[in-house]
Amino acid sequence: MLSALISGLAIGCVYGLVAIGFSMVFRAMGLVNFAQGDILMLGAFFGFTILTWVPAMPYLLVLLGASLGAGVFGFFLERFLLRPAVRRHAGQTYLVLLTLGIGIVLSNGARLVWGANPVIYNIPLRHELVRFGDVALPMPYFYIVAGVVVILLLLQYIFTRTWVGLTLRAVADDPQSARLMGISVSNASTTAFVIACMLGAAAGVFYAPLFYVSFDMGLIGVKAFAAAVVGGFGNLPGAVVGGLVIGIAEAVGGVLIGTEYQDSIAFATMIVLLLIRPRGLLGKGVAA
Amino acid sequence: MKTKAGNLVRAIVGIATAAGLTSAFAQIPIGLVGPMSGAAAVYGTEPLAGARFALDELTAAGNAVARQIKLIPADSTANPGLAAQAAERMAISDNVVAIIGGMTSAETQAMVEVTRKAGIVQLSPLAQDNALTQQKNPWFFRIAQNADAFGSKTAQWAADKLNAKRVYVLSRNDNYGQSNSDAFIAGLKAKGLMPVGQAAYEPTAKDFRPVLQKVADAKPDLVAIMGFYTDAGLIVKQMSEMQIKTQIYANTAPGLPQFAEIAGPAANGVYGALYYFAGSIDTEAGTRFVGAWKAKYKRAPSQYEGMGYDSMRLLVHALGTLPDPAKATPEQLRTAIAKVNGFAGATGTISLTPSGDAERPLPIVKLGTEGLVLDRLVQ
Amino acid sequence: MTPELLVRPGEGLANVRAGYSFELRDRRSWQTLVAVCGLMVALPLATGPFGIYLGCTIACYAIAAIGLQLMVGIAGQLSLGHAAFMAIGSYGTALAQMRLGLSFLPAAALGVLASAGGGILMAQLIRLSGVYFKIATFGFGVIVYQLISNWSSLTGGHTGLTRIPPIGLAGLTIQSRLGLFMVIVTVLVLAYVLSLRMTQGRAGRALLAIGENEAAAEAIGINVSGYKMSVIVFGCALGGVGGAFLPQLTGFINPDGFTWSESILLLIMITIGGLGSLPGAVIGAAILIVVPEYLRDLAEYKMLLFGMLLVLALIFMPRGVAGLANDLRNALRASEAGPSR
Repeated sequence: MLSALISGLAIGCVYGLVAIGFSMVFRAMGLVNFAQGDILMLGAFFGFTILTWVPAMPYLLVLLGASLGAGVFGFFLERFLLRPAVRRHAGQTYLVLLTLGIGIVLSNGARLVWGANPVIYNIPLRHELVRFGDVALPMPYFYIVAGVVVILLLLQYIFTRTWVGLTLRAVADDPQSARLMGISVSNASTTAFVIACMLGAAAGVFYAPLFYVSFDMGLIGVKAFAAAVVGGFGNLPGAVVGGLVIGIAEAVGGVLIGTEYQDSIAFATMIVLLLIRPRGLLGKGVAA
Repeated sequence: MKTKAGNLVRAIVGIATAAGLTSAFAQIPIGLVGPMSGAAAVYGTEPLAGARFALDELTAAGNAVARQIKLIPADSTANPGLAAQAAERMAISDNVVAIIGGMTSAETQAMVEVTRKAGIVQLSPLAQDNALTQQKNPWFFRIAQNADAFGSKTAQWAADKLNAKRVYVLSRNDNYGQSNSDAFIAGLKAKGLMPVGQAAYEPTAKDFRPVLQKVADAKPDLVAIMGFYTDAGLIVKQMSEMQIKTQIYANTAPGLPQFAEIAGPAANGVYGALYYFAGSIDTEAGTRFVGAWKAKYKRAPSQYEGMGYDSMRLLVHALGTLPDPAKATPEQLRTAIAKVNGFAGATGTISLTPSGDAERPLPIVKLGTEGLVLDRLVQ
Repeated sequence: MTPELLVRPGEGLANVRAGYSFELRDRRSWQTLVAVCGLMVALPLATGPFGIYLGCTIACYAIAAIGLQLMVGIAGQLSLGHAAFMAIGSYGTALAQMRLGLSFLPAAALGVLASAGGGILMAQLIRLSGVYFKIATFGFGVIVYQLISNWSSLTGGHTGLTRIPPIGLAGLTIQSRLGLFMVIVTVLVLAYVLSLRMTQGRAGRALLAIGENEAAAEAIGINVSGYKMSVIVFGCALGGVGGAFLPQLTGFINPDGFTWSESILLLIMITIGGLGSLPGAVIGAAILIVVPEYLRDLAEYKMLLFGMLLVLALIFMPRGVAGLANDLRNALRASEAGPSR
């Protein structure tokens, strides 16, 4: 049971990272980005490509490189595809379908570019183990947890101490007043989206050494979505909490009920939690 | 305006029909259906490559039948509905006399509904589900062994060679995993062994630690994994991370090079059983095929390429026994195939049973540091 | 204050969200119905046996797409798991025929009832606000898929069901493809007519109002949750109707025919056809099933093209093919009528 809990925790952190991205974009743009999981996939593939060019690249630099690449990608995505739609006050249905379509293009495009066969990060990290007595844990787990902590601290700093972060919060809270104060709402949206893409890509690079990279990895995004919902959509710490809840519920449920129902358990957990607390665990309510 | 459009439609239909008629005279249309894209693409693209290789080889050698064959491939994307639709189209519009396919058992079953009704020969290179040959369907044949035969032979080997007494069976929760694990367990029971545990995992699962904990607690001396090469690879990797030290048998998964990539160093010593293992068949047909393939592709043929190759060769052989292959009806072809006995295939000597099943050799392999090594060829 | 005052007869309700200028003039809608159904019957018959096969497939998916269009395009309730209801209809009907020995009609009734029941279940989630509802519908689809796959004793699991009995109506068994086609198209016409009636009159206006702005609709006294529930149950039931005929067509069903891909396919169908347009649902179904047959050699790119079509349709053609057809008709009519209208 212990190893199930630990692996649930680690996967939960990955869900949490993606979930933060969901929540950020939702708060800044009122948009549910169904392509977020595919951004994770793209980030993982970017990392793979970096490693193909420079096999000896240190892992953290791969992380940085993939995140930056995804950030650039996200910039163009937001500016040319998403912003016009948001500006037109397009409805939720429209935006969901749009991001779904973008996700399909991303995953199938990735399949054509990198091939349908899964690929791996051929780095030593993939097989490193850390031993505690007779328990051995994969090194990537520690990178993930450390990474999530660092990122959360970084985001906390950005949101409370920097101009960029404060403008993002202002825009999320009250776009009208923010505009009156001279803040460019559209720039804030772009910034939020870019950061969310970088987070998603980082999650992908964290995930890759544990398993493998494939064009259909984006499906993780849906579980992460459930995580964001459980924690309260729009609430950033809630997203991480939600991720951990879903990750652990999945793992423990897999042990208790049976692994063939694992996906159902994740979603059933989400649905039950929502019916009990419609705002999510930490959410303050979402008018959507 | 209405009559103009009507004329246009009629003209197009007319030309198409005429083209279809003329092509049916000049060529023998044979379809091939399998997944050509998506995660299961290897099951479709590789048999197709093998079938094409066989056609090219036979045509170059002057085989009159092969020269007239028109191979029509279709992508099912592993969706049974699309496979049936492709088979339907081949039957109605392309007038095929036979279809090579499906590759997965589910799409094969969907196609059987079509070929049976339309009266067309269906020859599957890979589908293993037992039910496919238990339906008294005279139109369906396969050159792969059914799950029961595969499972009992491999279980026998596991009990004898590996001295397995405590076996834990992990299966992917889909048609492939379930049918293979059922057959394997039945084989074990026939040897007087009961598995100490059994679990199924979701196809999308990547983290197997919850179930592997159960496996570890059961203290098996052999873990049998019936799954896709991706999940089998991850299972092997995670087993080594969890320090679960036991013999591992991963069915057909070790045949794919990505299995070793994903599993890493833990893949060393894993056993597998393949449809076909290049180099295990030392007949003339077997060695010639491997040599010709290596000459063109600079590597040995995979199990799927070999099975595709033999499917096409079998069809050509059967057509060749007919008095007039170009005008062969599916009924004639069916009778000819049913008579196949001791066919010298590149993947082994193949004999077809009355139910459409195949009797053929089964190579059991072990993954070493240099790649796959033949452990035993079970006849 | 009643919903009627929101819309004056003859004035389309400009639906920015759905993007389709919905014509409430009854006559035009009925004309479109006749045109679309006429094509649905004529084209497959003209193109031979394979055309009829495709026609059957299109009709099944069109019925389900109409249901989805009512839910999504008109009432604004985005369901991401619609394939689950086709699954319930398929399995319900086939199992009732095979295990309970029922003939097709009562079996299909059971199947449709089961999908309506599933719809009622899913409609419980409308308590959740919009975004949460969507993801819950996705979860619903996953759960139904996993239940069908794992409950092997009931559904045959991944091996699926085979040897499905043909349709028996009034003593006659439908053995030919043509007969099946006629039956399914008749049901499609019925479904279309029923849905058309639902979108007209008071109910229709209420649904449109809800789709436009739920809070406003609530404010003027529309029973929002009642209508939402009704449209979801009806839409899911239609999904079940479309699913009920699939086993007849293929003779074999298994869970892989009802995955997330199929749900997405249905969503793309209604989008390309035109969100909010009932004829669009049928047109979209036809396009997405026929076009891949012409691009048989490009099968590898199919999903990529579908995704791109979805995005491009949303950006450049938000009212879909039906909207284009509508514009064309308006333009023709305007040119016919001369400079003054």
